[in-house]
Amino acid sequence: MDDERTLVSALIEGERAAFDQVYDAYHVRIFAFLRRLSNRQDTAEDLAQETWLRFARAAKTLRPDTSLASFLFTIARNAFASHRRWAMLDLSRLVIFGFETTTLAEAPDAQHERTTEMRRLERALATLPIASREVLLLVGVEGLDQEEAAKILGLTYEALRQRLSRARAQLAKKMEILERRTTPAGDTA
Amino acid sequence: MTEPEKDPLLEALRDLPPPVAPTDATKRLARAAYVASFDEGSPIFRWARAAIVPTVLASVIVLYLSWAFSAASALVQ
Repeated sequence: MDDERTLVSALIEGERAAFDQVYDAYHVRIFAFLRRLSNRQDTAEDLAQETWLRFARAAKTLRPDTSLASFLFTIARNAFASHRRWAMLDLSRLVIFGFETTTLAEAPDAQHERTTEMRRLERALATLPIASREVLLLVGVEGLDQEEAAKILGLTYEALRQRLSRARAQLAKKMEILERRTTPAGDTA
Repeated sequence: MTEPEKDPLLEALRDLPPPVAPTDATKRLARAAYVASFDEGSPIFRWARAAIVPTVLASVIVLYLSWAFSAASALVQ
């Protein structure tokens, strides 16, 4: 916590090394969050860039007690929400939105040697509604404190707990469905 | 602060490997924006620049209202 305060103070002062340190610490996490939220590599790249630009411009106005994780994930989430609003206005992109989850879920992931379970989990996560996905990404994948996640999502603590519990149940159900789908194929192979 | 969720499913989520993230271009751009945000001139100059639009708008409104008022009084007389 003290380290973070020092880092934030250095950021407010305009120290480039502090900015680099924050970037190095968070860029993979922010990108992963946006990648899984949007289900698209190109969208995630654009939104990650937008997130970092917004952060860079706002850095000098931070309060010394700012939580960097909360601040960055809030910017990223807002960037995604605003992208989504624009996408909803654009019919052609709306169509892409409708198909993108399936595209990602069906795509073979040759880049990483993941276990079947991990792949299944990733696929199940990708097919969840955005509201459920974002809460699982923040609390599950990022391991953020639930109060912090509630703040990022603009929810009360109680509402977050309910949404998390619902999202968890949806994920478990999707996992079960995917498991049932893959088991017969596994047996015949 | 609340306790982290002890849930095997949530813990499995935590173990998901992160996707490959692009680094260089975004970092360069963001750092340039960060540096530029500290080079925007003196605070007085920034304040003056921010005050221009509201001042002009307020002046136009005041001028219009005084014209309208004087025109109305001329009509009454």
